[in-house]
Amino acid sequence: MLVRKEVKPLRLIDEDGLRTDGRRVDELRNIKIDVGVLKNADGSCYLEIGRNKVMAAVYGPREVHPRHLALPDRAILRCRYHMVPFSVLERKSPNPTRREIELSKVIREALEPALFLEYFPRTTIDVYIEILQADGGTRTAGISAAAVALADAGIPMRDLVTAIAVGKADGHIILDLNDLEDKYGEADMPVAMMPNLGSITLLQADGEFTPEEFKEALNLAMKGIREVYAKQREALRRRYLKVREEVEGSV
Amino acid sequence: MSNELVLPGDVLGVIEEYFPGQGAYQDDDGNVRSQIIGIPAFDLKGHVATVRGITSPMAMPKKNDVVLARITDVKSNIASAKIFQVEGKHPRSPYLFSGFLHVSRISTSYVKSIYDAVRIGDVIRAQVLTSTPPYILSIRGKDYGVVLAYCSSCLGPLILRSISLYCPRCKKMEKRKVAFKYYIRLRV
Repeated sequence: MLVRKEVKPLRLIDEDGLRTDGRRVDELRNIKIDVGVLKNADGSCYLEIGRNKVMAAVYGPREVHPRHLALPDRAILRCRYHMVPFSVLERKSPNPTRREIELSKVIREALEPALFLEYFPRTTIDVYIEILQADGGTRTAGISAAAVALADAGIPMRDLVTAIAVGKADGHIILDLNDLEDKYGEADMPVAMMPNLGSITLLQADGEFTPEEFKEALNLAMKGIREVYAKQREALRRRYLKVREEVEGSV
Repeated sequence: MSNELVLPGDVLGVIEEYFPGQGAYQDDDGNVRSQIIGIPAFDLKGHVATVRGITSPMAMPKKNDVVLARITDVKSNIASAKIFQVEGKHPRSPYLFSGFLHVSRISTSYVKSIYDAVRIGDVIRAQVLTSTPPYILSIRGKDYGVVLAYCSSCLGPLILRSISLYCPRCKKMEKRKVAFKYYIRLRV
């Protein structure tokens, strides 16, 4: 039987300034986004960034069950971030772990500011994020996918939400960390933003940054977010220009 | 610009130019932005910017929508129902929204008992009076009321014979507040 084992790299950035997967320090992995991939959901999105594969589905606004969770003046947003058992090298139990429960909460809080929840009192908007394959940066991939799925569901939003991680490896500030850089690097900082409004909705950090490094990292994250946002836009436009043609063709 | 596809967060104009209409909002910096994916429209006389959404409509009923609902419970003066379809919209998802029908909303004339108007299992065509769930429904008027009723003894569908409902199996008449568009009529 083939046993796939992870080896700790000697260094994360080589003498040419290239990372373990051949990227430069400020380079993103390849991104692919598809909109409206699930028939049964109100809105859905499939997103790949490097070896990460994420599926997001949105349902609602719909009635809340159990009823006591409903709020009389606004909708509630419920998020579930979940990694499927085959998403990592060793089987992950499908039960929600402590980590997944916390990530569900931070993703909910990253998406909430973008939504007009007060438009739909006594209802719920449910967001399901399934990580099909994980390679570092799944929470940010999940947020970007969920925002596209929310827009696809026709839910009024202030802006899309886009997220990317920045970090530090071998003393360099790097963009879009992969699994190895996340594990063996010195710092990791996921950032989510509403790019048009310029407001940050998620900022976490693990490791140590000097104030200068933090500023540099945040600027790099914003650069990455602009690139991911362009991909999100492109995917939505691709989908809805087609829809528009069909609608206008039928008239 | 007017025929261009806009996404949530796209700037349509500034607040000095346009009021935000349907599908638009004003941000903290005074820009009017889109809330949804759609085609913008600018009313140059009224100075209103709107966005017509091109995503499929949300399954949720709105105020004044006409809906089909199934009666789930009948109490002395109120009946509860589950809305399963909004007319003019194709629900993409099988969500049910709850609604309530009060005796006073059954007819413009006096209704002695709600049991004379609807029974459990009946399908009604109703108007939505509120904008959030649980919805308040009304079946006042000839276009609204029961569109499909079932016999209280044998549960078979009832047939509309002239103005009254009839169960062909039990040879029995039943009373309902029947809508103009009752589904099964006696063919003469």
